[in-house]
Amino acid sequence: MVESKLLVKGTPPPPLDRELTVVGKPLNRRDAAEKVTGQAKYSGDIKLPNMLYGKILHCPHPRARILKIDASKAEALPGVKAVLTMKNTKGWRTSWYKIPEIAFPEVFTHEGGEVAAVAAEEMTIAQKALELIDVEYEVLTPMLDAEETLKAPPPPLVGDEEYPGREIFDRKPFVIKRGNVEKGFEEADVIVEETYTTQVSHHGSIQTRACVASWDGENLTVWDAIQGVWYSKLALADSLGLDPKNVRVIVKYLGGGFGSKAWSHRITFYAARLSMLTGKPVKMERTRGEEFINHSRRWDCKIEIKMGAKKDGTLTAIYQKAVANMGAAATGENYYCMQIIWHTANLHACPNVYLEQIGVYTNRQITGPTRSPLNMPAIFALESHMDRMAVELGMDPFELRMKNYTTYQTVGTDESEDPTASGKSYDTKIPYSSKILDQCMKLATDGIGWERRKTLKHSNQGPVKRGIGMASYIVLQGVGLHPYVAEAKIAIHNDGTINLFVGVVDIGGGQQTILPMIAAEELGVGAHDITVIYGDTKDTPYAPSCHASRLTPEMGPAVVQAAAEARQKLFALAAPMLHVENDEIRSKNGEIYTKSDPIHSIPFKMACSKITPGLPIIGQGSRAPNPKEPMMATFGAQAVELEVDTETGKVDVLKIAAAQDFGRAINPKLCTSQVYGGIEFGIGYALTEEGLYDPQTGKLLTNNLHQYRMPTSIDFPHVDVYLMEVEDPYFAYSAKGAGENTNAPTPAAIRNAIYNAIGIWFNELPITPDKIIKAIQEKKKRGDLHAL
Amino acid sequence: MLFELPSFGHVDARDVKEAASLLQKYGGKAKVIAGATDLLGLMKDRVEGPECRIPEVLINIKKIPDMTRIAYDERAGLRIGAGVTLTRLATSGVVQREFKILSQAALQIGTTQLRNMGTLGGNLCQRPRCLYFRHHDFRCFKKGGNRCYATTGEHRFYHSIMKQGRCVMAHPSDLAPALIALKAEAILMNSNGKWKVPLQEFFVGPNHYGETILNPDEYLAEIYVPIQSAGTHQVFLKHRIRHSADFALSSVATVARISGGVCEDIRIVLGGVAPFPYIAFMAEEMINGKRLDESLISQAAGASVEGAKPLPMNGYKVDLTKTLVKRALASILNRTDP
Amino acid sequence: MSSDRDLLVSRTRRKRPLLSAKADSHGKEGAKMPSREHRPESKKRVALTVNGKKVERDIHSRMTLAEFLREELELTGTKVGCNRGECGSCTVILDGNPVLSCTVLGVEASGREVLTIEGLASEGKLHPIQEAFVEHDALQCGYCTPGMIMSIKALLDRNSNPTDEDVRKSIDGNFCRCGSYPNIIKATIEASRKINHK
Repeated sequence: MVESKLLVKGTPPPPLDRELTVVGKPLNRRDAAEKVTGQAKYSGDIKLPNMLYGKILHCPHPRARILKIDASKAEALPGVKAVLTMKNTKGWRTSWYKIPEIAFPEVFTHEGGEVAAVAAEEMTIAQKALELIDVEYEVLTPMLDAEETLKAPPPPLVGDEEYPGREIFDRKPFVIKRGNVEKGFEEADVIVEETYTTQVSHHGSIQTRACVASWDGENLTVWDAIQGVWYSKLALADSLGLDPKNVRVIVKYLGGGFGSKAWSHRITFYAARLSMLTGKPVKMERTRGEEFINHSRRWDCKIEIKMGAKKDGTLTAIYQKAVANMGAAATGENYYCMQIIWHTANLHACPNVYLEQIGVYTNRQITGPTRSPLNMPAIFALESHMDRMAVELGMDPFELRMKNYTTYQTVGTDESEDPTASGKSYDTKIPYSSKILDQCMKLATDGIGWERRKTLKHSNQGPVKRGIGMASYIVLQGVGLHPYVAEAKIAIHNDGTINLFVGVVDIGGGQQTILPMIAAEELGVGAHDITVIYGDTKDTPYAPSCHASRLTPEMGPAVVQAAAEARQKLFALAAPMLHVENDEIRSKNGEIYTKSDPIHSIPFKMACSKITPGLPIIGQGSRAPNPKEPMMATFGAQAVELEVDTETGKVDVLKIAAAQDFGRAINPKLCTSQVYGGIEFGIGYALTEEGLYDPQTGKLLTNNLHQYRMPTSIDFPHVDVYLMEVEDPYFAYSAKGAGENTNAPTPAAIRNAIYNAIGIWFNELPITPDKIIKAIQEKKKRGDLHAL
Repeated sequence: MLFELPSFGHVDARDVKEAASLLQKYGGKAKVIAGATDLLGLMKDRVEGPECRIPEVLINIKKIPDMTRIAYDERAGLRIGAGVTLTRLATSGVVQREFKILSQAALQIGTTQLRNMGTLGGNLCQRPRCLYFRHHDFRCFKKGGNRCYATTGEHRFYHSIMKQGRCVMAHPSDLAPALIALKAEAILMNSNGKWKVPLQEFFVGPNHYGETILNPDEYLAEIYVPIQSAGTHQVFLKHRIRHSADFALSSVATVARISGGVCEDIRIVLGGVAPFPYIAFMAEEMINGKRLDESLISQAAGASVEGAKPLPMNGYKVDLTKTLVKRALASILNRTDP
Repeated sequence: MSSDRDLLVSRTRRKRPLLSAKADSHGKEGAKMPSREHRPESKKRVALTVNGKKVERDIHSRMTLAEFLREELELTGTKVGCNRGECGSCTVILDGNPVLSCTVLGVEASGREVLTIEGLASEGKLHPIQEAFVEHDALQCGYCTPGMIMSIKALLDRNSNPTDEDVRKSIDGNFCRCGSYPNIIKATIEASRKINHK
């Protein structure tokens, strides 16, 4: 029998030795009916008796200190039940993206920092109360630009600007080395250098953060908008000095997260504390403006790449220097200190690399998980540069990538977050658990009609030019992340009821549809025979926050193990009924049968009737850490066809062919939706989205959904999705994660297609019409009109 | 996020006279409310200053029959109440037949829902899209402060390339250029009665707190559009960043009467590039009385932006506007849509 | 000629002072905003039909239709994603037209008919649009979905045989950050076929 490599603690269950009957089916999303009828209750829809309404007073300055604060008039306003400020919360820390920050600081390091929190009988009273709080600020000069801040000497910090972790990460270069980069450049026939810049971008979830906290004197119950109920529970307990068993967090529906809700937001702590003070439930709901200003964002980056290659396209050396604007804070969990250079080190084969990444603390918003956080800037820069190199070599970009295809990796996933791993030389080649990126690249380019690429731009004599471009990707997401803690429990009852207990939040990825499919496959029943208890810390074991595409790769194996354990216990009860030994028994489609004679079977429910009533069979599963070997990652490629109007700068993305290697899609219908979602982000990042700041005050100007331009239905192209399959025994039915990988290649593929169309490289995102018009004007001035 | 609106009184006006007398009664503390798609957002964001007051009373004009009618007479022309929604305007049979530039412009405004709610009057009277004007914490000139933040800050998309003054915003209306190109007139009301101005005179320059000539006790009641002669060509082109929702980076409205191949009367009006809808007089003079051809079109396109003084980051709008003018004129030359 | 815009305007306008760094239009330097106590208090009785049922309430004029639906009637299916008329998640059908309920005053909905997401399914049976959305996975997080479905319903009421392009345009004001647009279009086309067959 083949030994299982499934990543679980203890002995992994043996692989199912039959064809799959549930996994791979395009089942409908379980919570779709509630969502399409408006019955789904998100946290902002919760209304409790005697509920109070909370509001927060925000500091309008990116860097300031409170000189005086007087909330007495607010406290005295009829209807106000409690006011929190730094005066009555000394020493209290809440966590903010896992950063233990002072709850109401005296010193502010980013716009929108919290000055006070108010709970009142009505929202309008809470709003009025904020107006009555007198605050005097000393406004300090903000540091906004990463490059400039890096060049200037470190500022004298004011008061508690020191976020934990700053000393480890601020302005510290992190390095990945391999081979000898100087020698590599000497060996090169062609050397290309470029600098790429990417913008501040935001999550744009349609639901803003909202929570209701209810304290009954002993227990705290919170309906939150967070991607991980267990994380929220533990963080709240820690901050409020409560025993975790007295804290319950519930999230049945979440209106988008994309990383913005991966960790607790401070409003939940404030609401909880206000509830504990007043003895009444407190609701806090953020406005869209607050969601932009006082929330995390994606790092803006400047990435220099110098690449050397031989005439035949073999890469010989890569030098990279990446500067990331971290904003006010980012601890290890948020910083991914080597995430940009990790991608550069691992995507293509290159024996000699010297890659450096520096994060700079500034007074912009905090940075944190943002769908493909630093992968997007990293892959944009690298894959743009590959096309640049291809043109220098006179080589087809697809051929260049295939020439430098690698079946091994040298830098592991965990090393991208490990500050002590910097400076090592990563020379050991370690193979992958699975990788079919080459097939993805072939499919994506075939799907777009790559052979038309050479002649496409000449097909129209008018001002509108067509082009095709591609990009490939590796991302570290989708295989699980440190600390690899994920647990599942299954209970099978006497009446045939099967309950799957998973402490996960379904953030729209279909987690509560996918996990029971895995359990059903392993148990040998239909997916709808399983009831899922999820989105609630009550009765469920610990599960990670649903971010970093980690749910399926982490929870999947745990669910398989739990189901297998429960199944084997049930088989022990079924064996006498079938008059065979345990190991002769299998199950499928609701029947328990003997392997040698499948017709000899009993219904699953009949076996269940042997379970002692009130004493269900329990199976438990627990994820094990990823091993150091083999390497694990997810991969894919996209090819884009678009049109550029050379006179107006308008870009029309016509079609995208997207092929991905996620191992296997547990549910291809839901997996395809994830691909669309990634492309929504990718197109916006490439062409229209940018966070804009006033250069003098440092305030965020694009604080609404009109000026922050996300793609509309009319901007969204036709997309062909190819879900590849490859065996990867470490994951549940080979299923790796699929949430955020597909936005990584889109910007480079678009940028490369624009080059194919009009012969201009765009190295700064987003590629808006003004930049295109300007670049074409400059090209005309230089007399260089060949490509137009 | 609920209950972001401040408190205010709300009154339904039954006819145009009552609306005027209510405005006068509340002495600058009242505003008319039509589609509300601009007004309520400004109120929720507390866009305010000594010269930009949040109204304390809203006077609803949507129940006034005169304000919501479209009337057409073959001699007198078209009368559109200021309260007519953009969807009704765009889909009106007579507008599509005789004044199709209005339909072209209206269909490119906002989104489906915004067109169902937003009105002709609202589109003409809307406030600037400048990020600083719309931000509560920046008290710019328009709000009664003492500086313009955009000149030294962010001004790539919604600011002017010509005729700037103390304020450098670009007028965001799409209907204004189209109506001015049709030689429309605005009917204004106050408690003394109504009076008429050519629509281009309804808009004021960049050294004023508001964008129109309306005093606080006055409102826009109707728009008259004269009959367009047979053989009139009408083209509206707009360029924006996304394919929906966004305002114009630049827009061009062209109405031309061609007779015997000669252009007898052409109007070229630009939007999104000046603080008010800008009539490209020099380009018009260049074309009137002549036959359109590629060379003349090219020269006229250049003349349309003559005198442009773009800001440091919006110079691209000069070429963009020239392109749109060229394409509009070329489509007339070809008798086809671009 | 409009080369001298200020002169032209002064001919037709009554008094309108020019911008100056110091004075405001009331001649007082740095005049404060008028106090709110002198505004007319405004609570009005509204009577409207919501999902076929007549409802009557006394509400403040500041209450938007979205707030009325969610807070007064506890119909929380209609979502508020931005409260500025910019995301489309609050879309409801008002007298047959899709509108942004966060930007419609509750007092102005009096005497009118509102259809919300809760009014689509009848007697526990999903509307064909809802069924098609489920079947085609035309949703993910679901927050834009009620508003999206109302825009689609309004489209199909107007155009029973839409093309892909018609569908795309009808939802140009409904943002789906999860990227479900392709599936929404497929679902709508199927729903239109189902409805036509009935």
